[in-house]
Amino acid sequence: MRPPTNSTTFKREFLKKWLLALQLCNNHHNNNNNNNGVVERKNTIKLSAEIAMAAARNGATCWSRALIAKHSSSSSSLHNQTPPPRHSKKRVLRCKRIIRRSRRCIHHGPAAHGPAAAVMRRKTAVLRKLVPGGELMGDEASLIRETLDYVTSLRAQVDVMRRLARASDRAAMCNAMK
Amino acid sequence: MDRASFLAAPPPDFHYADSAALLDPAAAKWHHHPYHYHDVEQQQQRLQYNFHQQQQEVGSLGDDYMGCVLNGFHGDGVDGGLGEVVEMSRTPSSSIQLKPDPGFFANGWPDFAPVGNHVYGISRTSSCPPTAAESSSPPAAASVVDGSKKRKLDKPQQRNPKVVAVDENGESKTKKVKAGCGDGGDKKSSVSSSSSSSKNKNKNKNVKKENSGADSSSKENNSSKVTHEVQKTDYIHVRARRGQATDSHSLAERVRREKISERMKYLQDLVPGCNKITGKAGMLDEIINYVQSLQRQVEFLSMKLAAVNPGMDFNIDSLFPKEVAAGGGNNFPASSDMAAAYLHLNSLQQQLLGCSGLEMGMMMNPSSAAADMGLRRTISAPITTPETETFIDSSCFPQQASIWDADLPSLYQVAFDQARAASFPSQQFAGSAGSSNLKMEMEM
Repeated sequence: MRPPTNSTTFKREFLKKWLLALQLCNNHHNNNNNNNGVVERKNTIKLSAEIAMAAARNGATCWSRALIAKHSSSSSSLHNQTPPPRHSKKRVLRCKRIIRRSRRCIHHGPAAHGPAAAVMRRKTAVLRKLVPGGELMGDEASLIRETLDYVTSLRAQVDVMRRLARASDRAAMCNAMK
Repeated sequence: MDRASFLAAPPPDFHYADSAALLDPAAAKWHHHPYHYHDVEQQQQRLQYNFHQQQQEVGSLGDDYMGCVLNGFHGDGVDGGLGEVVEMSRTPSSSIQLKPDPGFFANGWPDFAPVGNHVYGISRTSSCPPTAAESSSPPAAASVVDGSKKRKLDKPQQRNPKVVAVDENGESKTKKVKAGCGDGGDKKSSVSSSSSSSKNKNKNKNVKKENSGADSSSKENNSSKVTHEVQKTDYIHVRARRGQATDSHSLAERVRREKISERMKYLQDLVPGCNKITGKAGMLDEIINYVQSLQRQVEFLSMKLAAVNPGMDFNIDSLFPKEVAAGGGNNFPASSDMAAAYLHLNSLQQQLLGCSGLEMGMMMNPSSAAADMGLRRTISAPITTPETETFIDSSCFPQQASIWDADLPSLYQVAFDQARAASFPSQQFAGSAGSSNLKMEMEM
């Protein structure tokens, strides 16, 4: 698994998938016939962009799979946002933290002590939260590798989105002038 | 390597030999070699070349002998580099212990499969006296003795440690080395099979009559055979410098850290403004910031897209047919929208692909669509004038093309078809048009 070396093909793939996803979303919304607010539209766009980005990576990376899994699990409840599992999630989190702490006490050698190591751990944890599926990655090396890939893909995504936004901006300006 | 002691301590002849060996081009190449995973055969060749060089150097000085101690350390489950230490030792009495220079041979040569020789550092040791397995007296002209041996290290964690000492010395020192040879052979048989050790000995005896170059190559063969044997068991080579811990945990940890730092280097190239920062914590900070900023940008852009298209979802596919269906007069904004989008995408491609006209699906229709174009130009806004040409990227958007085909009025259909037909003849023209569009894009 390598980071997307050829960003052109990646961008093309991403764009293709994104437009497809947008079309699907739009059809869905047309069928529902509800007049959405800006925020909801934004969420839809963002979601479709994320899924398209992950799909363009072809499941070769951990983060893309995690992203798709996350969204596919939540897509069933796309319209009725479900708060109930939050409570159980929190409990699970606490349990995990406790477990981790205990594990740290047992396992870590002399290398993992000291303030510098603590700082590193904290930052790694932050990075884990940022990269989708980062919590699932076991060691730091794979986390860094996934981050590398994710950053590359994000850059491509941002680039494509910016171009599209500029284009639509211009189109809107056209409309206004006409 | 504390090179000062290395240079100061040994007797002048050895000093000369070593420094000459270090200064020869092959060694210099090693020294400057970055951390690359190389083709194994290349490495083999280069190594042989280097050994050749070294042997010639030492052979010319006759009185020295060089011990190459090749350590293969065993780790668990991680594929790392093969670490060996080449120890050049003169005599046990005058030998000095040197640590390998981190900057010198430290930038490693991992994965050195067939030969199994990884020249890691050059050191002279007294703590590990060169108990050569085999020593042979060469003809007087060459005066090079080649021997290879394996020796078990007494580190409990290493399952297959292997030390190959290559000694080159004059006639006077052969006996001493030979005394060590039986010892080494025994130890080696305890490590691997005794048959291989005897094979080793036989080989070396056969080689005895040959010149130094042949010596070195056969030695390579020997050691390669041995390492092949060892490598059949899943075998991880990790470098360990002198003084570093060599238990499997430490080795695995070291491999992990090396991997991480290597990837961090890649990230450093990727993330802007990360070049000046040294230290992992600062880099992690920078990476986190960058990822966050990118994610925020995605958020912002999607917000912008949502805001720009107030009617329905931003969806150029569905927006376009809808507007077409709404009426003929409404065609032009929609088409300009599409065209703008295509322009951007095309210019994006163009930026990345250079001016290869093949990839760019953008073109002007030179024939009957020109009038149509002019009409559209007059209607649409001045900014979008170049975009009102039909832009087709059929390789990129198959569905789009089909949509165009299906949903456009007959006028557009004709234009589209013509454009597709004329795509290849009008490549150069398209390229120039694309560049002008690109410029416009840039200044906007």
